[in-house]
This record gives sequence, structure tokens and C-alpha cells, in this order.
Amino acid sequence: MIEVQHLAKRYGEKTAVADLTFTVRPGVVTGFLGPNGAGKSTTMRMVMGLDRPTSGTALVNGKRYAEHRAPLREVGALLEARALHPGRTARAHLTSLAATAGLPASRVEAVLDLAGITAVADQRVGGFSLGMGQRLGVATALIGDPATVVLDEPVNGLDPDGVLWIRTLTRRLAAEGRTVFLSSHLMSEMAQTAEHLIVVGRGRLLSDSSTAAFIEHAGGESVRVRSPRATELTGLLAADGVTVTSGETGLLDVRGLDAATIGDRALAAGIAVHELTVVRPSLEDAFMTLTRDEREYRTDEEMHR
Amino acid sequence: MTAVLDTPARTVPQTNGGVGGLLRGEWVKLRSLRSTWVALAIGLVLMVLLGWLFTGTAESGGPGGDGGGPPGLSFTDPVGLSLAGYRLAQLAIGVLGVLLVTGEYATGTIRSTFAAVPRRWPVVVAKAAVFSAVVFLASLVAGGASFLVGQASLGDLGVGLGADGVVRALLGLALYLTAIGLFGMALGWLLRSTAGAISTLFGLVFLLPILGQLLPASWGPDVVRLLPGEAGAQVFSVVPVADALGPWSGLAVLIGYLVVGFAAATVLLHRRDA
Repeated sequence: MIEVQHLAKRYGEKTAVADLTFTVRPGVVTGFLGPNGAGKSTTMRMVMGLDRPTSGTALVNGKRYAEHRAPLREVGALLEARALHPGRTARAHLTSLAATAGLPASRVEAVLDLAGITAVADQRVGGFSLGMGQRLGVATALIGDPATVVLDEPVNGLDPDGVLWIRTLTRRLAAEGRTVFLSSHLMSEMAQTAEHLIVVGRGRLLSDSSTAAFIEHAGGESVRVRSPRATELTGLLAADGVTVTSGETGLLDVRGLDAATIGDRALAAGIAVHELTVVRPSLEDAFMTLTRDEREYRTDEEMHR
Repeated sequence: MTAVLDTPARTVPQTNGGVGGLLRGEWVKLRSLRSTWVALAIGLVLMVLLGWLFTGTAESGGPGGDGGGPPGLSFTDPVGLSLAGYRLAQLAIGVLGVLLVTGEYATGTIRSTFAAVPRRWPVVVAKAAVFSAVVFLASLVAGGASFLVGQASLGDLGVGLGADGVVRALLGLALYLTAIGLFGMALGWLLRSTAGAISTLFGLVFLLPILGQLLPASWGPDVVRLLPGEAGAQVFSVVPVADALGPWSGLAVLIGYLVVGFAAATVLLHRRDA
């Protein structure tokens, strides 16, 4: 459980995080979405007790991070890609943390195995690919068998296999009753992995809801209908609560009726239908709608500089 | 693979590894980097070789001989002559002290470290303790080797281990090199940047003593003898040097620098974001 209350971080004039309040609950994967510069990484660092908030509090499993007697047991984090010394082997990196945290050596072997990097455990990290470094980062986060897992951009640099691995792993961690909080700028990945979404822009909370509700909020489903007798069909479908728009000849965009009803009515009138597609707004659409004004760096601003 | 996380939660201890765990963790970090052993070997082997060179060439007019040589190297000080290579060794060890800290900042591993030890200051203490133990032992061995090689090379002019002040000089040299290593570490914690900390270390320990000789004679020596390197080095000098502090007061001044440096670093460590 992560509880963030009125959290703020300012660097001189610049506000990175402004009055953020949200709760990340155990048992589901919670996504942390926002454009670059929205304050996601800063928030995660404050949760981990690494950056000091200007004001507000961040509690993990009921306490401030620094108050935990066995912090790695409570929270495991992957905060930035490659926070690893290139001259050290993967096993030495994990062993030093295990020793410090009082964890048995068996945990080192367990997380190496979990991350699928046992074969390269005795190689220097400097020779690792981005994906292997990321796997070692995840192994580092899980070394204390933590109740809460915080992952900043975990799929960055991973190949499709690795992306699938992260997706399966984070879901399993959540299913085991852990709190899983991950940020990503890859919407499609987030839509498939996260059940709950916390969306921020310019350091402020924009949305805190289930992923399904977030997408729904951006506009419900519509049905795309292609027919040679589109105009006649429009007359048949028009009713209260139904809107039919047409972008091009022979193509209709229908809201307020489901595809089955449209198909049945067309058949009853003997009108041929060449296409009948349910169109769901994507997480991208929802995100772009919400953050249109919140993006830190906009192309038009860039051009006027 | 699945068993790892499917095991019921709370299979591992509820507290951190304590002092022992902290020291073990820092020891693993120290020994797992090649740079640790390279820096130690370069510094200490050079010290022995330079001592051998200085003592071997003294009779033919080299350092300490009739032909002159750098000030401070005297034929009449066989112990000092054989240990004079410390000037290079201290830089290698000081740089190593810097790197052990700034390396964590440069690579970002400092975040894993502080995530494991959110109180932070125990990390400073444990790193210093482990590094001190390693440098002290290695310096004791290398200092002993420099002494033995140097005295053998001086032949009849050499002195034995039993001579006045020799044991104090060898222990003192190991203490001195350890303190300079710690000084590098303190600079690393304060400045967090490799380039900045190494430059400062070179300036204070290597350059300022030389530049200090250009200061007016009325107060220049008073400044120079209080510099960390010049003050600390008295702990292993057998033949008293004019204008310098005594052995133990010299070491006390160097330790004073360390206390101030580490105190400032620890205060900043808790104020700054990691």
C-alpha cells in the first residue's frame, strides 16, 4: 500500500510535483501515466525516501520509508535503468544488497533465476544489453521479497519476450496480494497490464480510476458501418439517443446502438452491409484527450523559442 | 521459478543485516571492483619501487646524496629516504577513496544503497571502516617492504627494524595513508563528483605544499605545515624537520580535517536528495 498525501516537490522556481494525493492498493497492478516531465520519477523517488518532499507525505505500508526496519522487505524498486556499476558482476551487486539487508544468499540465486539471468550472473554488468540490465534491475527490486513493488519504466529497452515477462510477472505479483506500482509511457503496454491508472500532468493529478473507466471516460464505443445504401440506413437508425455521423460517402459512425441491432435492422430492410466494426477508444486516445494541455513540451512552443 | 514468489510472504528476516551485514555488504562492493585492487597495487608497488630507486641512487648523487635532490630527502634520514615513495602511493589511495563514493553516485547505485539503508549515515561509517581496514593492512605490508628493500639497498648506511622510531614510522605511514584515503572518501561524499573530488584532493595534498613554498617566509610555513598531507606526514618522520609539527600533533591535525570533512558530508547527506 502506498499512500501519497498532498505531496509536493519544488526545485527553486520549478515545480516538479504539486499537491499530489492518491493511494495505490494491494492486489492490483496500478499504472502511473503521464507525459515526460510530469513528475512520475520524482514522486517514486519521494516514496522511496530518496528525495525529500517540499511538503506532504508519502507512506509505504503505513510508514514513511525511512521508518521501516527492514525496508527492502517492505518495498522493492527499480528506479532508473542501469543503476548498476559496470565493473561489478550481477551476483556481486545482488550479494552486497542481500548482505546489507540481512537476506540469505538463497535470495540472490532465487531472483537471478526469476529474472532469467543466472547464466550471466558472473559477468560484469558493463557488458550487459539494455534488456539484461533491466532484468537485473527487476531482480534487485525483488531481492527482499517485498510487499510493495515500485517499477519506473520497467519495459524500457526490453525485447518482446521481456515485455511479456514483465507483464506476466507484475500481474502475478499483484495476484499474490502485493502492491504493484509501475510507470510507463507505453500506453498499449499499460492498457494490457494495469487494472488501475493514476494519471499525472505537470505534477498534478489528472485522473485516478480503473483503466476501463479511464478509457470509457474519453468517449464510449461507436460502431463503424459501411454500406452502399448508407443514406437509407441512416434514416432507419435515427432515434432518440442515437447519433449517426458520416465522414465519407458510404461510411457511418453510429453511437448509441450496438452492432447486433444495427445488423438486424439492416437485414430486415434488405440493406447490404459491407462492414460492421465496434470501435473502442484506445488508452492513447483517452490519454491524449486528457493531457492535451498538460504536456510539458509542446511542439508549437518549441518552434517559437 | 514460480516457487520464488509463490512462497507465502514473510520468508525472510524482519530486520536489516545490522552492523555485520552492513560491513559485509560494503566489503562485497569493495572487493568486487577491479579498480580497488588496481589502484592499491599501483600505489603500493610504486612506493616500494621508488624507495628502492631513491636509496639505490643516493650514493651516486641521487636524492639525499651529495648531488642534491628534492628537499626533504636526506641521506642522513635512511628511513625517510626508503619511504619517500609515499607521495605517489597517497594519490592512488586518495583517488580510490574518492572513487568508492563517487562511483556510486555516477552509476546510480547510491539509490539502491540508500534504499537498503535509509538512515544513510551508517553507510558512510561502514564504507570508511572497510576501506580503512584494507588500506591499513596493505600499507603496513608495502611500508615494511619499502623499508626492508630500501635499507638493504643502502647497505652499511641502512638501519634495522629495531632502530629508534622505525616501528612508529611504519605504523605511522600505514595510519597516514589510511587517513589520506579517508580524506578522499570525505571529499567524495561532499562533492559527489569524481572530477571535482579528485581535483580537490590533488590540490590540497599535492599542489598546495609546492605552491606554499612561494608564500612569504614570515607566514608561509605556518600555512604549509597545517595542510593535511604535510601535517599528517610527520607521524612517520624519524628525523625532525624544521617548521613541521610533531608526529602526533601532525596526525591530530590530519584527523581534524577528517572529522570536519565527514561531519559536513553527513549533514549534507541527509539534506540532499539522493
